[in-house]
Amino acid sequence: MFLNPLMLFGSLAISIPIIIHLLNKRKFDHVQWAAMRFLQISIEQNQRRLQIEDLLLLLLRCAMIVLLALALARPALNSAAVGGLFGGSSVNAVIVIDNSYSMGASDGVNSRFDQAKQAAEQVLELLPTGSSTAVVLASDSPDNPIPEPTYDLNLVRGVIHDAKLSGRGTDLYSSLKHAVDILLAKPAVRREVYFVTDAQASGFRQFENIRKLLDDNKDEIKTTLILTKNKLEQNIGVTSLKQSAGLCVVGQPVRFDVQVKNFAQVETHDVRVTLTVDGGTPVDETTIDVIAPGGVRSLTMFAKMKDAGTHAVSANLAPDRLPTDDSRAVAVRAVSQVKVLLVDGDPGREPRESETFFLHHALQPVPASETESYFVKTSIIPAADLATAQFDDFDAVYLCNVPDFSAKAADALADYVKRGSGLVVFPGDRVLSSFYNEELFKKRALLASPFGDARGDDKQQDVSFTLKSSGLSHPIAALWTDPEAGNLASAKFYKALALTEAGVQGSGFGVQSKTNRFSPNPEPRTPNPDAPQVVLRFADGTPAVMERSLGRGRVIQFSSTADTGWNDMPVRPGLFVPLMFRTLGTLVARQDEALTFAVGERLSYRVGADVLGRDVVFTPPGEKPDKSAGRIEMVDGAPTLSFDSANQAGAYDAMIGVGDEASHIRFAAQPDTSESDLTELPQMQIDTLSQVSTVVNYPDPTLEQKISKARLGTELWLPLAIAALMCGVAETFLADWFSRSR
Amino acid sequence: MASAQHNLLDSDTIAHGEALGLHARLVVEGFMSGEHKSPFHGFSVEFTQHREYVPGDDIRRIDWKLLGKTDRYYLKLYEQETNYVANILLDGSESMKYGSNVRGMGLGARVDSSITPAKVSKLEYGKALVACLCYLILHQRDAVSLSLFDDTVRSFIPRTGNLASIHNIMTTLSEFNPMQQTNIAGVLHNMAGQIKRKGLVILISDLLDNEDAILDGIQHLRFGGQEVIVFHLMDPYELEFPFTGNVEFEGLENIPKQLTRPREIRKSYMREIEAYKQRISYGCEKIGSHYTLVNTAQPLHEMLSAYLAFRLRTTTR
Repeated sequence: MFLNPLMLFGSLAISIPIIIHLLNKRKFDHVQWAAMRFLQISIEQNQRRLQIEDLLLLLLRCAMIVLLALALARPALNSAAVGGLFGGSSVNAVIVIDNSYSMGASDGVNSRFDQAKQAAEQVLELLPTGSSTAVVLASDSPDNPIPEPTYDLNLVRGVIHDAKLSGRGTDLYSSLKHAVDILLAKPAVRREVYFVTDAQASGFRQFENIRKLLDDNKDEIKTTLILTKNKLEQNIGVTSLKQSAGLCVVGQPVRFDVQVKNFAQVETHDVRVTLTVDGGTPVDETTIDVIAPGGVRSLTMFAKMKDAGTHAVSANLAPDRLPTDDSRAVAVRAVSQVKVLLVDGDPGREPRESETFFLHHALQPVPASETESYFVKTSIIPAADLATAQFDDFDAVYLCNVPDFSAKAADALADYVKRGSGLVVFPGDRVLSSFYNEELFKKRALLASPFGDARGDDKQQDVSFTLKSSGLSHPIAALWTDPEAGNLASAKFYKALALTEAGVQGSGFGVQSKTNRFSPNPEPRTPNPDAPQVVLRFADGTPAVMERSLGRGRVIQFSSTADTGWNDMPVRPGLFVPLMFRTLGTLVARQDEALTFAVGERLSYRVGADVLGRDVVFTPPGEKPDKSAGRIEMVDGAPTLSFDSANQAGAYDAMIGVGDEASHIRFAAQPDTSESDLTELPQMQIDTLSQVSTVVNYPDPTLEQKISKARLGTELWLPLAIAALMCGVAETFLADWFSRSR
Repeated sequence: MASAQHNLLDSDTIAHGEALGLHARLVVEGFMSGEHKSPFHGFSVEFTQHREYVPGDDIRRIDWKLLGKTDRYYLKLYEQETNYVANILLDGSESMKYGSNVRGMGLGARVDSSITPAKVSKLEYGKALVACLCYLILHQRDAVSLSLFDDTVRSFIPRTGNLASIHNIMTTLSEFNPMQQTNIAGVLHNMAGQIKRKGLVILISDLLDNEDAILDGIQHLRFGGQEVIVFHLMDPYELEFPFTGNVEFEGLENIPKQLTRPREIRKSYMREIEAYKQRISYGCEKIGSHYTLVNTAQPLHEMLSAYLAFRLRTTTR
């Protein structure tokens, strides 16, 4: 077997010395000579010797070239016997270490990750001299601290020693595939993969692919699966932490939804959950009396933000032996006030007849004397002033029964939304559906749905329809999953314009969600989060309220009026006020959703133009500030804070600028909850894997024997190269000796 | 004959002959005016004239009687009673054309540069040597006959004692062109049969022939009472064999070509040459003839002065 068979063509170079030999015979000086008699005698005495010498040198030169070509072609023998003869030949290895956060599971002294590092170092010690190694850190996507096999094993040792546990989940297939690809890219006799992982079942989700990959390559690549066995019976983790829809206002209590799951096979009692803001002392605390095995408990907790700006809110459990999932963080932005622009398309003759009367009061549900100090500020303008309105002064714009407006105003509105603000659209009897459908929906994608035909009749109020009160999944509607919060079906609707869900899926206006490029079988894509979604439905299932994202902003489209023209919802404060607040909260929080993302994803957060070009110092959770700072740069025409190495779960801090002028932006990376499930791979599957690889349970004193047993085959290039060298030396020596006069 | 006459009239040839003669004159006169006496005076028995003593002359030759009469120092010079004939035999075979620095002989072949090549071919060197000897001998009024031979005598200048005939000799020498293989022994035997009077035979050749036959021929001459002097002309390259690389040697006397790497057989060649020189040299000594190996790279006047000095030492004892 030749690892580099093309080099065998090099042996054609054997013709070179032969040609030189023949040419030499043709190339000579001509001399007319008198004393031929003596010359003839000398030649007769020596000619035979000269011919033999010539032949010998020619043979040596040819042999040297053939041996060199053979050595370069890297012949290899797959036999243990010959391998022993020439000593262990070098290995091309890839060491794959699982650094998903389940590897952080500790027995109290060593974590699985510590064991994995030890195992990797031991493997490194067992590699024959001259071996090269790459290192892959496996989690949900492979990370390459050493992407190509290197011969500097000290470097490898250092990298392994410095490897960090990540907050990511596991998908071992992609990392294994990556390791196999690294090895297949380079010819070698011995290719070995050492895969150090805990035998967590979730890591082997693509078990069949893993088995097939190992099986397909088992002749070329010897795989050793080193499983760190560190039994962990109990684990509870925070599996969800979200700000409940609503406004996050300075000094106002903000509601957070927390879920805690018990991953163990036994009940867990008295689980204390605390809520902290920016790593401070707990601001809320709850104790869960009992969680059933595999059970999930949902909690509602509250926190107040002391000042405006971004904050990281964490829900924490008492530390257990898998620390990563004991805390979960979410980033929120607290605002001191929210400015809302209400555009009234039908002011009426007196305030009560105004289209925005109820909306205005719903958004400022306080006595007139307190409206000045209330955190929601409303401004009302007639539709005619829309063209001159300064949208940027407001956090959200409400269009209430506005008939139509200029294209310039529509463009301004679309830009305004794309920059990260909110738009709410209420229809009414003045609305020109054709303008909305053509200019706003089709041309500018400012609506979640075109306005369709009217349904019902506002003149016949004895016929009404209601909202669907079950199966609510949208965050705005999530409040009413709890029957105590009121019944959505209590509001009566007399008339509504039809909204359509058609084209909801894959309208694809938003950013493509990040997919795992190494996964050959990507899981079914979750619906594009930026696609239009239904917020509320009528009882017959047709959409009543829809929302869509546009750029960094969001649009919420109602199908009925904001006043009591087409429905009686505005006169039901228990329903209308929270709905409006949650709507406003969703609009305002839209641009801050980017601050919370899954571990491993990229932060891209739009910031004010005043900090463009400033340096940013990032502080990962539980670590010192990372001095290799970033910078606020223009991305897609907007100053953006970017961070792409959030490998740890928890709250991050980005300090923009220096000294007293520094401002902080906090963001949070949330771990993959499936990783908290420490269920092990069934023994049957381990047995299946052992047919295509060597499975070692670490620590194992026989690791060395098992590895060397699997290590067969040897390369012969070195002895061939030495032989070629010896031919060269012999040729030089003999050529010199032969050329001496005799 | 027509072509020979034509050659004689050829101005180049004449000029060359003149030049050759002049060269010989210069060489010989160098000896006569210097500290050396003409070495051939030693053979004369009859007084011819007096010459004024110059420092360095052998004082045994001073005419003491004349000193007593005139109080002047004169040397007595003698003339041979019967004309002394120096028969000069110059080998004109093809092999004599070789010269390490001669066009067409392989000039440009790679050689070990430490060996100085000869400026002229062996034949040219031999011609110059003949010219010098003739001039020298005629100048002291001895007679000279010249034979140019290869396998047989090609040009012959019969005995002459007239210095004026030196021009004839020069012209003959310069227009001679070698063509054939050599047959020294045959020529020597032939010569031995022809020469009636005791005299001197000077053989100038590269002696590339059967050395036993040559020695046999010399012995034949010695038997006839001739004194034989052998000038063995060898090119420095023939002596040292300094060639390197691949060389094809083409024989000058119809010997097949040989391709070889001379550097690797040099020692072997040198052994052969050395043995051959030894055989010739011993053979000549045994017969009682003077053998002199002449390296043609050595300037003629140096060689001649060395030889004549040696000759003076050995004959005036």
